[in-house]
Amino acid sequence: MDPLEIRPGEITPERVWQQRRGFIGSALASFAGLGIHEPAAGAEAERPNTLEQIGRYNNYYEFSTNKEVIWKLAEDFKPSPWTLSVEGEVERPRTWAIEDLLKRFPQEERIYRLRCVEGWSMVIPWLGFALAGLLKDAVPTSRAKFVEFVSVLRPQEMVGQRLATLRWPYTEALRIDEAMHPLALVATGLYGQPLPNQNGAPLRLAIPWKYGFKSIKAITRIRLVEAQPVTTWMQAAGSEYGFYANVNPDVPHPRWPQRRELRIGEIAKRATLPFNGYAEQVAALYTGMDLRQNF
Amino acid sequence: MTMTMMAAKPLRNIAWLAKHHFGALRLVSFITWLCPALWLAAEYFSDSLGINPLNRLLHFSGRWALIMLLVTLAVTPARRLSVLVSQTLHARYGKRISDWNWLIRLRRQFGLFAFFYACLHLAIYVAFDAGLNGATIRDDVRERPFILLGFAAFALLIPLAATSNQAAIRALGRGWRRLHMVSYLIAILALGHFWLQMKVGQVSPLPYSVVLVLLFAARLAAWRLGDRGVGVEVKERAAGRGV
Repeated sequence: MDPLEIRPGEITPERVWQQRRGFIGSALASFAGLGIHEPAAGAEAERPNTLEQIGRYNNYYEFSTNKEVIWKLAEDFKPSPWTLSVEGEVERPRTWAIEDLLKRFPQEERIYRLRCVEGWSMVIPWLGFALAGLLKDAVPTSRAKFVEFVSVLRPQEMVGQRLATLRWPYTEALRIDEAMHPLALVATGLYGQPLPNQNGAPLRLAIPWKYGFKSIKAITRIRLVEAQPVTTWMQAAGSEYGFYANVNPDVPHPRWPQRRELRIGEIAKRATLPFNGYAEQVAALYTGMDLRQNF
Repeated sequence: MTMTMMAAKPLRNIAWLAKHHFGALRLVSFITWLCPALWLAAEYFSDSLGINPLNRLLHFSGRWALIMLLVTLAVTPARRLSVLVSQTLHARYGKRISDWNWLIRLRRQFGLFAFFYACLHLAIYVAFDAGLNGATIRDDVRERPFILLGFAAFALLIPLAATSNQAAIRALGRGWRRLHMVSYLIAILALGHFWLQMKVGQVSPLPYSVVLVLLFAARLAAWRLGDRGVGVEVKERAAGRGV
């Protein structure tokens, strides 16, 4: 059977998923003898957004710039068959069929906050595997300083690509140490199900300490390179979107507030945390760098 | 009855209704322009503002403030146009058609609705977006130019709303008209506020901008033609004469 083909009975309904989490949470709390949760650096203690919220509010310019119509426009996108090539400065370049990729790298659940540069955020229970594992499998050479990601180009299926809104295909990039960080995830699903088309099926990045646009969707190619690539958003508006795009309340944006954010599902805003609350884990990557300059 | 009379009758009736039942007309107009606010309130209380309720509240109220501003600015050109049409067509009841004084009497209400929706927009921003925090608002004004434009537009609306009454018109005399010409500047600021928020590939303010340009053009044309008044005052004719 095609591993991407999941029988309806195997899908965990969101409600059941929430109940299970509640059960595990309370079991853990009583085991530890504590009635309260420690304020976690991760998003595990936060209430995840619903599947409807995650699936009906998407930034995916390949379809439209209107977030609330993406789910509909993406209905006819075909995430299968799919291949992913890992190439460039590596000793073992390889083109993976997605089935082999999923077999080789077991998926685990990671609950991450997602902070969009537009000033809204969500908590998403991703399913995926560490990007580091995939990169190590290809054995990067000493010249591999950056990792470039290239999204799919299919104007037939992605109506937004018929307009020159951005340079297609969409590309993104990370410094190699960022890409190797254990938090950098290749997401293949959410809520225990394969990724919905509008969320970047069949595989995308989830880089929780950076603005959402760094978490490129529908990846077809990963290229390790020596020079820092110019990403799609840097090319479109370099003064607004830098290479690093770390969530940083101290770097203002001309349109959207970066000191605060709207958590989808709430009506009042909350403060935005440096590195989206993952400073403890990732701040060391940027020691000695002026993050106001390198935004 | 001739064909001309048949065609003119409904228009004549509107003019008659507007003249003799202005209070009712004003009430109908009031309820009409209140509907968007009632709709938004219904969405709020039935929890159906969508995935991002704050954006819905902000965008909806802001858009209606802009629409009401444009409706207000459209009054004088609409009256001029009605005169032009009736004169061109040599309509027998042309003078009645163009006698849209009721429209200019409604203009104050339109303008106050623009102010009302702008207040709603600002209140939603201050309460929910900025969380009633003065420092947050100050940072917003400093860091995001579109917010500065929004505040400027709102500040200029205040004196106009405050002078939208008979006493102020009488007290200010000629100055009143000059003061209220600021409404064009407000519309430009409001559109700038809208445009500066657009991300790449988005053109939502375009239709409103086209309308404003057309209204400008109409005013400019009238001015070039030597008509610098508030509109064409047409002598009242006794309703029903000539039937």
